[in-house]
Amino acid sequence: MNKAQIFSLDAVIAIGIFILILLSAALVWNYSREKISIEETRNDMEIIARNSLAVLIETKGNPTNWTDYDFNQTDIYSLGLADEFLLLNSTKINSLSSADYSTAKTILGILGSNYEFRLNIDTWNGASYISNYTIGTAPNATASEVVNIERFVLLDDLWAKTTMKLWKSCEDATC
Amino acid sequence: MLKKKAIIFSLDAIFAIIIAGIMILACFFYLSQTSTNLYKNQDIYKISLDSLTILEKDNTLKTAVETSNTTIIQQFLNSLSEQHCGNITLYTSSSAAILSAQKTGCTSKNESTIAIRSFVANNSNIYYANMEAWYK
Repeated sequence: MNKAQIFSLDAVIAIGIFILILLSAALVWNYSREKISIEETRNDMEIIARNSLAVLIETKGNPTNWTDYDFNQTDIYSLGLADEFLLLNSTKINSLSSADYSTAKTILGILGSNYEFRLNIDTWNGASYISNYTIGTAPNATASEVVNIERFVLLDDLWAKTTMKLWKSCEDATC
Repeated sequence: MLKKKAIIFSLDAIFAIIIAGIMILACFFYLSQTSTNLYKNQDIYKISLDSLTILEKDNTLKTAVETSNTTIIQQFLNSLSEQHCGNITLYTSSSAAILSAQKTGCTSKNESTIAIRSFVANNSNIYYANMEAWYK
């Protein structure tokens, strides 16, 4: 009478390798999913930062005299700081500076979860750029992503550098 | 009865483990590659375009041609952020280069972008400003 084998050593090794490959696949899957999520968030923030800065410095806003209206989403469709392409108007900058931050974020289209922005306008004094206007909230210690976009404009006939910082606030551990 | 000693692990099993290990390491290595900024060429192009626009609007380019002096253009280029390099060349309408300035300390170019803007100087003559910009 012949005895049959239930488990051979080769079968045990094969099962072991199979389990190892399955576990590795799960780890790789999880890692790549997280990496893709981070990259997508970053790309989203890059697009939003670029578009919002472009609207601010390239357009007059809608309506063009938005500073005469109540600062809300019903009366103002878009915000623009320019009198013409890349020529900024200091009255509009002052209006935006003193306006409600949350409403400004909404009108600018910065709607992502925990997205915040900071707009700096620095003017040339003959030797360097000095800070002239700051609008919004600076990135804090919990910021998980910070996107920085820089462009040049003219303000009161002076060269000026506008910097849009878009950042993601992470107050809780789910970020 | 002849006692034979067997090998604990067959060669096939060892090769399978090695190949599986190599594949897994290759996956992690490939996935850990960081992606570069997709928009960096667009950013540097915007810098060039914006620079030429504001230099044209504040008459810096016009003044440079009329006085044959690139001091202010040089000053502007030197004020660019540390990671940005650029040079500006002014041409006549017949493509003859007349003036040029480059940011101090910038020599080697990697990938660069070029923006061109026309402007008027010297009694309504048309000139072209060409700005080439790159990352240090």
